Amino acid sequence: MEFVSPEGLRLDGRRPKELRKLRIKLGSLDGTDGSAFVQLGNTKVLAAVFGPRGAPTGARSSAISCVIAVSAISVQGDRRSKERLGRQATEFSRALTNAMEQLVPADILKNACIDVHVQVLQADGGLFAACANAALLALANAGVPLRDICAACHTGLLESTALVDLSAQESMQQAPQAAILYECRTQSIAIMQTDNKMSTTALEELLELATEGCIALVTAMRQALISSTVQQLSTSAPHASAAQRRD
Amino acid sequence: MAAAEITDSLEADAFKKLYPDQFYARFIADGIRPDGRPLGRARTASIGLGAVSTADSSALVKFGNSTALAGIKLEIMVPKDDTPNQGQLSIAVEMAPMCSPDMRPGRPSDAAQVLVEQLNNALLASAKAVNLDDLCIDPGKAAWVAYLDIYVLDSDGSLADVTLLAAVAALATLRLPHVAVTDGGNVVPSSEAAEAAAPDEMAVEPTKLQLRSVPLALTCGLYKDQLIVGLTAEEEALVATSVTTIVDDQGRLIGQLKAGGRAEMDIARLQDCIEAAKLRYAELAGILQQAITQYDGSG
Amino acid sequence: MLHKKAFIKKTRKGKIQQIVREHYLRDDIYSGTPWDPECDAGAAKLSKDAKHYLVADTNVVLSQMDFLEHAAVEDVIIMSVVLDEVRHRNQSVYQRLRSLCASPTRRFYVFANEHHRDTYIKQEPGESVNDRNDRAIRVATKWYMSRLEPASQADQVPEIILLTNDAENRSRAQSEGLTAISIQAYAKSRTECPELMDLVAAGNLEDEAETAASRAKHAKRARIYEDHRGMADITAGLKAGKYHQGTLRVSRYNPFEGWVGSESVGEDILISGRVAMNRAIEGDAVAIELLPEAEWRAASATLPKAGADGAPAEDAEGAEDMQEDGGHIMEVVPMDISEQPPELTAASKRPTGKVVGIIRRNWRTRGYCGSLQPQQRASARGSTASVLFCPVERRFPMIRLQTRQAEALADKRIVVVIDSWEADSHYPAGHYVRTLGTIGDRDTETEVLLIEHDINTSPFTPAVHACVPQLPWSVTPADLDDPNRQDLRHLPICSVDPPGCKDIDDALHVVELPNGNLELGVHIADVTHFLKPATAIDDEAASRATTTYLVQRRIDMLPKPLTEDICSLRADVERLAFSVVWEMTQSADVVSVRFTKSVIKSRAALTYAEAQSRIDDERLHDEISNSLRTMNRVARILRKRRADAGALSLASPEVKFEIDTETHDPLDVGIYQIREANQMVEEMMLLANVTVAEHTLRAFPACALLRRHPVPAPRQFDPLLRAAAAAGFSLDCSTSKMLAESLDKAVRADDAYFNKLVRIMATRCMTQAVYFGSGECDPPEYHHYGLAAPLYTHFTSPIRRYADVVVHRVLAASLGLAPLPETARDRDGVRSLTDNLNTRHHNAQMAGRASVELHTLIFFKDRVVVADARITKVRSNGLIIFVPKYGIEGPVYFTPKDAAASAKGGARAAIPKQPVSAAAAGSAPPESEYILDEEKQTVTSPDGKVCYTIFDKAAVRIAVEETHGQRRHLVLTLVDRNELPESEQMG
Repeated sequence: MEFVSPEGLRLDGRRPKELRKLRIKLGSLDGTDGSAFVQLGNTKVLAAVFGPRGAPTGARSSAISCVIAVSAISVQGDRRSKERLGRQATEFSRALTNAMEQLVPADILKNACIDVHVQVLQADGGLFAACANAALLALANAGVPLRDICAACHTGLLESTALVDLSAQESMQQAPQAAILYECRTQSIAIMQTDNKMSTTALEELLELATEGCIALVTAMRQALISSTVQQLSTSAPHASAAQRRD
Repeated sequence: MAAAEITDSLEADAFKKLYPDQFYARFIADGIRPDGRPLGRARTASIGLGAVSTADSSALVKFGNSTALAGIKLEIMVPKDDTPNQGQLSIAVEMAPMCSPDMRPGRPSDAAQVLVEQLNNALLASAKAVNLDDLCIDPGKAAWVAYLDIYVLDSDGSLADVTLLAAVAALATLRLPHVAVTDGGNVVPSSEAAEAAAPDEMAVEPTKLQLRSVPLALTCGLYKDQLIVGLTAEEEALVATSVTTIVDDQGRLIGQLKAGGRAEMDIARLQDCIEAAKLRYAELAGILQQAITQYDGSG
Repeated sequence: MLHKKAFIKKTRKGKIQQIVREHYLRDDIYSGTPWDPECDAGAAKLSKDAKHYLVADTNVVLSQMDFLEHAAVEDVIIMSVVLDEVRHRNQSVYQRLRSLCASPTRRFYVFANEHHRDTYIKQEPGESVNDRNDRAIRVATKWYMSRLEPASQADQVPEIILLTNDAENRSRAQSEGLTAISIQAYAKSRTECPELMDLVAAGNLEDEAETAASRAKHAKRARIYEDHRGMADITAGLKAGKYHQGTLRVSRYNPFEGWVGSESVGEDILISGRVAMNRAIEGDAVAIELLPEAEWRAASATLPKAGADGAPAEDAEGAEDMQEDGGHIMEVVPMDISEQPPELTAASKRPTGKVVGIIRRNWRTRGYCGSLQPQQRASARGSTASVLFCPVERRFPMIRLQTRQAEALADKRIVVVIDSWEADSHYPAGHYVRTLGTIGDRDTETEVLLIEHDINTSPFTPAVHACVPQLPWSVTPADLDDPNRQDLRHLPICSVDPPGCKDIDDALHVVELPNGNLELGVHIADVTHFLKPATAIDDEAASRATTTYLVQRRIDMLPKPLTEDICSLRADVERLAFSVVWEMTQSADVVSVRFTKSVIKSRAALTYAEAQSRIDDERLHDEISNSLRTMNRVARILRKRRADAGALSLASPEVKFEIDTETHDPLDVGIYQIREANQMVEEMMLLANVTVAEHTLRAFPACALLRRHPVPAPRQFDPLLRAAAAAGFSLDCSTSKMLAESLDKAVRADDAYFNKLVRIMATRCMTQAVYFGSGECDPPEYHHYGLAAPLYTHFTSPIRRYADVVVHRVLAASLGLAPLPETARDRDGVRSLTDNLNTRHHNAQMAGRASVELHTLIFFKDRVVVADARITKVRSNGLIIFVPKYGIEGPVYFTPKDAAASAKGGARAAIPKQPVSAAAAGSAPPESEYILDEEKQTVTSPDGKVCYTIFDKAAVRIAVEETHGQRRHLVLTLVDRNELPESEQMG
């Protein structure tokens, strides 16, 4: 296999340091307190936030929970591959929950809880990154403040070239891969996940590239948040006047 | 000016939360519903086909806020001994945790079970929309099993209607790949089997699954003796009783389900529901046809 | 770094699993030409001064690589769609194309048309993939035309020429306003470089005018061969049991006789004659149909001669056939112990078949070496002539090619590849690739034999050299501190090798332990310390698989610093080793064994002769001499034990050249002398190999790399048994032990060489030993027949054999020193590894023999020698004679007709007028037939006066003769044994 041609193009036509096409849609689920649809290449995920709301009765291990659900139709391959991905999702969920406990200010969670649900609609490469980004955007859409600006990004070292944001075809390889959740202000890595054996120099190379990727993603995500807020402000006036007319 | 508007809308919200029935009754008395619809009009429907490329076919259907995503994945099975000529259609519905604030993840919901029953009834038992013989590859050796999974992403009423349309749309765009069964009993793409002989041959287009009938549903409710068509979740909580009516492309009644409730419905009312369902059918069939044509054109 | 320049298209792949992948289209892909104002200057690889830019379509690339590789073909644009298609269809062409594109000296530019926004196209409904790709090439070509902008009016931008041999594609291109021509037409237009025309591959690609002409010609020509069946037919036929499949092996002695080993029939099927072979050549995978039993034949009992096959001789082509057949008469060749189809008597008919279809062609992409048949009619200088090319390897047919340089090539060795073989042509059509040099020149002929045996002689790449430690290298403190590496520098270790050996793989030691037992050590160069898996150097070594030894040259598996210095266990320097150390009793019973990485310091690097004289010289009592003697004593016991177990003492006619250091010409040639010291080292290596085989198999029952020597099928011994019976002794081939014993008894009082001759012939009956993964076959099949060992492997020569490298890694893994190498884990990996090892090993051996053959010819160039000889085969028209001293074997013919006919085409050998045989005297009447007695293995002259029997002593005169075909051949002529000088008598 030739993952990067001598002409410098990857199999899907991207260059090594090029992200897939990113699409963000905020607030599409009316019944929730905040929601975000994120499409990164062929990976599509939908995240919704309920809360902050009064803590429900019954024991909760933490005030904030993030659960990633993988649907069978979202997975390439048969039902077994779904189960495998489902187990990975459980792991992601735990990592994301931990990260968010740190990111959401403690005073918000004092007497309330937040539930973040992420539904994977279509899984291609970089699933964890897409889920994390969608969850972060949904929280922002729900008006939950975060301590730092974050984004997640997936990278891999194929045929000794570091590639950002692997497609499914690329991430299927038994090659060094690393995904991180990066906090831009503190410049620190909140979550790191690696796959397959790699040397420390390979890891360094991947982390550097993933950081670059996160910074690029943060820019795009912030842009999406700003334009959705602008849109909300401009549409809220006619809605109110309609209500008035009914009265 | 702006401040006044906000105060008004806040007051309306508070009133609605505190006295939902009175709030609704004031609207109905005016012959209009809180979202601006007349009593006899169901919500605007939209269909997105092929939204999930990891599935063999998929459809995202919205009635207002009510959203369902249906996807089908094909797998190969050995036909059962008693039905060697038949494949299988396996239907599952999942209420995604995000579909309503009250959902708890991981718990199978009764609502989902009810929906599966209705879909089974509409697609297989009564309407026989899918002929399982069409899913056979090689009698006794191999057949398709179509896993139809429906995810309710936003639960805002008329879920039976939304999920059925999503299911029908996914089935109508399902293509069965051309496959051949080798002597060893393995199933291979027939293009692969033919490749050795004629590598230059064009790839055979997969065949569309033919639907024998196209059933669609409409849920109506009775509120203070008024028939309300196409219920939202709010309305479902207020109406005395609700009825889901399923009709097919020939205008035949496939099924009618009255899910209990506080009130009876007479024959004439049920007849009204059927008439409303036929009207809604024409509307939805048009949208579905348009979506399919558009989808096929895009390849 | 964001995707602002990307657009998305979805492509669907019609599998059972539908896969949707993204396909990004971009506008930042440059055209690579300085004429394009938007092209980055650094990316402009194409020349500004070129008259035209060429665009090649997929078929042109696939069939015309030789043309494209010519230095005169420049400024070529390769579309990525072409690259993709080529990669799927032919990996080796793809590699060649890629290296052309990567070469800084060639102006080949890759344009990623599939990812450019303006040149990407979608497949239309009803459009085949091929048509879509052709259209994509045309669209991209058109785009290029739009990119070239003259800077001023005076500028002439290059014309863009689409090279395609598909007439329909051409006409479509022309209607779209493109310039599209066939490769022939283009080559013709390059009048300044006539050589280009020669490089154009022949076949169905001629341009219209020629096609019309040749069609007319074809109409006149009779169909010679049956059409090949289609693949679907073949598959059905194989399934129905009507056809059988196998690989065609062509007889080295008769180019129109071959064998197909078929599992479905259970024995080899004879394919006899040109028509039955139906255009299949050596190595092709073919489908064959058995003939009715009545038409079954036996393998030919005569030596092939002129006009032996039934080709029509009416037209000019037929006349050339006669020539070809003459050219194919067997030459004198050195003794060949390669696998050969079993010899059969005329009486025993074999299943006979004909080729009905080709399952897979095995035409060499690297081409065939050979020379042009001399022209009968001189063609005008520079005009295209149709000539026949005669490959040096006689198994291959002659090849017809078009050339404008027939005259210049007349005395050259050239390389030619086959393009096609039509049913109405006697010969395959091919094209010229390159010239190697003048025929007969030693370097040229060496080049020929290297190409023929597919030996990679290209220098190691910089990436490979980068893996080699810097010289001077020495053992580091880290190596000494390694807890897994034992310090054995105190031991009296020495090595024993042939003179001049620089790649010393192995060294030995023996010391007496306090308890009276012996400690015996075999120390092998620790090559895997330097050769790490998945590095450039490891990949290269794995692909070369072995060092190749020629008479005057060595082609290394590893770069020289490793081969001759860093790994080599030279005397008086510290080296890393992998040691096997036994404790054994004085009577050589093993008490225990251990394996360890070690550091050693060899006390002496001895030659066999030096070691032998130290053993023999009883006055010497130094440490090394004493241990050599002990070792020799142990070796004798071990050898005796192996012989008792049934190990065969085999023989091969190895010869040794003495080479002039200045001219590199051979000064003398003789039988390689084997001393006891050789046997001693061999015995130690056998012990180490067997011990390692046992250990690794125990550790990894499914992943050990072993070497087995299959038990020969009884019928393989048939010809030898027949010969033995006729000669009045008997051989028992039931087991290797019985064979060994009966071989010992095969002696003749009057012929001291007889025993060795029988051993050589017995060796030839056996198949070769092969490497295999232990997961591949059942334990009983692990057996090594020749060594009578249940398990065997190669551990002792990792500098020159890759198999040993793998075994080192497996052994290290079994000791927990390193993980098991990836390739050893999966069965497919092991299979492809061993396949390559076996092929390369065989090729290297054959190349070595061919080198001996070449030097034999050079040696006899200005000499005429009379030598002692033995008869190894009797035929109704001649004999096969073996000359022990020079290791050569070849025919002598009885009748002048055969001799003359053979002389016309090449070799000449003649029966002298004078009576020659020691057994009988009398001259041979020229016209009548000799009588062959298969039973008695004799051939008698019609008058009964001369009778030759197999194994008879004879004498031959050896001389080199040059024939008009510019081939140099050894010619053997029988002479009276009285002419044989005393000194030349064997034994």
